[in-house]
Amino acid sequence: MRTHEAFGPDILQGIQQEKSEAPWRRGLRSLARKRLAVVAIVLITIIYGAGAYTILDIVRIPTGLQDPVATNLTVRRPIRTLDGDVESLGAFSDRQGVSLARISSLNPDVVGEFGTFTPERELPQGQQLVLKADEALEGPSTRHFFGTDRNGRDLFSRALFSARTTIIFSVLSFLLGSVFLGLGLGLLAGYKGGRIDTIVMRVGDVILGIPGLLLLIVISASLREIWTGWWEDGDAFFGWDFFIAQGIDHITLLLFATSFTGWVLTARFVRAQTLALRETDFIIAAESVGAGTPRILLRHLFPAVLPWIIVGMSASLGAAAGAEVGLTFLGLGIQPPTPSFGAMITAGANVRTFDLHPHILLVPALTIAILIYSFNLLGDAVNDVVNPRGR
Amino acid sequence: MSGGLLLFIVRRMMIVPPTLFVILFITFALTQIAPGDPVRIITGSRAPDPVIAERIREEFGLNGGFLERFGNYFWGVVSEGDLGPSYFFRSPQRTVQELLGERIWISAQLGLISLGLTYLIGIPLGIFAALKRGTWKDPGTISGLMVFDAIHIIVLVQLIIWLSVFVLDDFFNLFGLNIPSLWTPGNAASYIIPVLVLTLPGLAGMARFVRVSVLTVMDEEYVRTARAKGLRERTVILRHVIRNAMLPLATFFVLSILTVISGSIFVETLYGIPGVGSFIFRSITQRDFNVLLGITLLLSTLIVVGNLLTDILYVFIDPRIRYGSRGS
Repeated sequence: MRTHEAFGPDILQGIQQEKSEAPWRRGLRSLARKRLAVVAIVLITIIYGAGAYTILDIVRIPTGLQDPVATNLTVRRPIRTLDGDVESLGAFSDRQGVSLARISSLNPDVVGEFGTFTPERELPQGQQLVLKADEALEGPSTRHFFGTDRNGRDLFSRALFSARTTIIFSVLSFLLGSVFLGLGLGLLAGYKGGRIDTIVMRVGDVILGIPGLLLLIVISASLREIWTGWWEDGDAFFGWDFFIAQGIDHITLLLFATSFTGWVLTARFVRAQTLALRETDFIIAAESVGAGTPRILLRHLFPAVLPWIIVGMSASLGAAAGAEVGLTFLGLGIQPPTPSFGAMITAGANVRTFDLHPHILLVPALTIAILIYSFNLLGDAVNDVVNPRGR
Repeated sequence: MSGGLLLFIVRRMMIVPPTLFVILFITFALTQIAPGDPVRIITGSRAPDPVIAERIREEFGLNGGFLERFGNYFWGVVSEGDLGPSYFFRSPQRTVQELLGERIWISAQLGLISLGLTYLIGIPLGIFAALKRGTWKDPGTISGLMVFDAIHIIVLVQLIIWLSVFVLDDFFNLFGLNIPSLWTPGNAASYIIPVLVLTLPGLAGMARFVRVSVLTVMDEEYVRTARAKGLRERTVILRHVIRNAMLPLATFFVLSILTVISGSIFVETLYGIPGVGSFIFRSITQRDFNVLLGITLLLSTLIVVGNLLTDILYVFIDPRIRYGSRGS
């Protein structure tokens, strides 16, 4: 009933339009009065804006940023061969020591830079070539605002490109998981009832019965090979290697997994709301003048439950950003060439590295923490506005 | 009335076996299509010797159609709790249930301690926030705790290890406490970091839940009545508000378990704890899909049964609940 009054159907709005503000406008106004919510919105806008800026790169407009992937390949000085004495070179630890052979398999351009240097001739048996990347592991400076990582890549640029990955992934995951599946199935189950309702809710029970992260792990670990295989097969046909280079195969797998597991709570909630709304006068009125199911779902029920979806949006976007970090750490999320906060955090997730070069971990960790924190604050504030009973 | 109650419990319990069966089926199917061919994982070679491949197929029961293999696996699980052989631990060949049996104790220990602490710290903080409504202390408490929730647990582990081992080590040494930077069996001090990291992220959710619950109860008529008849505020809060506000906490239990489970994957991996969480990570990197399947089944059973107990418990706690039809 409350929802009906606050976010009523367009019939009511038509009558009241002259007298009172539109409900969403009233909601926005009371949101603007909450100081924390405004701060959260500003922070989210900054991070999302920074990520959105790098979309220019996709359409080949110069951004003035360093290439987040290939900068490690500006390696120019093959220092000397040794068994990985880290500190003296400060670039690669023995575990991360990169042999020239491996580098050249990554990118043929580098081999060009080394000229006549061939790994077979120069490398003694059993030793690894340790390369020092230019400007590796520098702290923050005016040249590199956030410093550089162990491959000499500018962390500011990398953070921006990682934000792009996070935005693409979390927004699509929200649209697919919460809006399309969650809202769609919830409305359908609540309004139609009967067998559809039973099936949707039972499938939901099964999904909720498996610990969420574990289900994500099982799905992405199991489907990874097949999934990337499909994209490669598709490449032969459609020629979309540009998108594969952007990591689209892994992003879509992550997207599929999170949407498949993430729709249930939204659907349950929407269903409960719909069950209550189904019996209200405006739906019965619409039915009695002969409106069909699609019309009732889209024109009448959808606007009524939409505020609740917006409440859930903050939580959903924040959760997706966090899930990317976790899954990438487990090797199941975004894969290395594509910049992502998960990859950046994984690179810095070592206490000794943190003690020596804290900025490697702090840059991605703080960015993603601020983002998630802002989303949580905003979610609380929006929840208060839409559902004042909690206060 | 009690006939209806019994019917509700029976009906609710009857959902459990089919749910678990479908979970088993889905995860089995997923892990079976996973690698294309398990023989490749077991032998670690892309083109294994056909003779060896045949022997391994025989040994691991990989011959036969999908349904036949599923039937065998299902029967093994149901009849003798057999979760199948590990793909990775081959000499000597270990079964998944053996491997899990060795690891579950430490994870359960850490998980239960952390759960206990989450309740022990989260409940008072939630009550505090609710009682301080209208002052800065209420949003301050909740948004302060939310910081631990926003920092990813991978980062939280690093920060806490760094703080306790690199920065505050002298301080802890004063108390004869030497916190190791990695899990050390037999050293009780190595419990501190994992328990802390598993507890902190759950506090915000717990405190917030308690806060809303307390505020809801404070709006109830009987609280107003209690105040109106002149009871002291302390008595009203302790007797009437808090007692009733704690009831819905039963529904929060499974959610807390889930938080601890997903946290333990990262904490155990990064702190080197030989438990189920780090075993999940190992089984991903070693592509030991039978282990992954076994762990999923084990933890899903925990969750499904936990949900069942919650629902039943809730009917007893809150007699107002309608148990005739399955509401939510």
